Amino acid sequence: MKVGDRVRVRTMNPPGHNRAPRYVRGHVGEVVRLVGDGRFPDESAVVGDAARREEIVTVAFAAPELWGPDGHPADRVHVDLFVSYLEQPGERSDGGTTP
Amino acid sequence: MSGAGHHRNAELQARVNRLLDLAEARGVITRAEVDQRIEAFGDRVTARNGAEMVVRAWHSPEYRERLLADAGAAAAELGHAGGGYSSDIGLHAVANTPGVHNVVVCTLCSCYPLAWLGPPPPWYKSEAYRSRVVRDPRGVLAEFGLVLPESTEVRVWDASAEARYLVVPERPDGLEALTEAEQLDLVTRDCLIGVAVPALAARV
Repeated sequence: MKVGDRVRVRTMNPPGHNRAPRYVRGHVGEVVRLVGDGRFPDESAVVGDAARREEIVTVAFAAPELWGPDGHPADRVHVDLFVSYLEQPGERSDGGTTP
Repeated sequence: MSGAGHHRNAELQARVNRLLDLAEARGVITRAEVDQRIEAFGDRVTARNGAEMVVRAWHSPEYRERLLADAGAAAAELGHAGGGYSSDIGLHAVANTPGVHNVVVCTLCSCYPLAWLGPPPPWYKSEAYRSRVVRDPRGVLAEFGLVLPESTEVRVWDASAEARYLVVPERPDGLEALTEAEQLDLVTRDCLIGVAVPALAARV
């Protein structure tokens, strides 16, 4: 994954711990920074330091992508996401078909 | 602080007390040592650390460049070691420019650059701030008294993983007329979170 890539946050609702904020799930943004790696929180919540490590990227979402016409066109929300929370924009884990 | 009344939640306080009892009984640490460490942290780690970094960046383009490239290392240069409960926690600085304003939040909990700036203000942890600043940043900033031009791009940073964010405000006009202490006073904790900007007019 590299800066400039367009990514979609997977639509998901796992039973355990998860650090993909609900308001960005299913939405498309652009990778703006490679943060480095960290312990995958969904696992570390259960097994602590034994959790696998995973890359984290900062994804910028245009406000209208998240909030529709109520989002200001000049505003962006940046969220740090573990890469397994992300998919290609065309993949659609929720079964939808819109681009 | 450590022993009694630090936590408002009675159950949590009971747990802390029990842990402290065990730690003392087993010779790990005493209550007095815990209090000492909390006090030392509170004295040493405050928003003043961030103000020192910002003022240095205002005066030194080289330092500014280092701050924006690796804020943790730039903080360490000034003696602000940072760190935290996990070595994965890193500091990242984002700069305001004439067309861009940055503001920081943690929608999932209350991630904050505590190891560099001290504890966050209570409102930073409130559900009202955390839920609203991502969907209506301009409205929330206006409630803090910061009204931004329509043309300004607002960048919200939701600290949801290992990075902690620090806003570097723009250097205000007229800075040269101030002493170093006055310059540091301009860079408040709220400026470092991004809900305010340094205001010379506010000086008395």
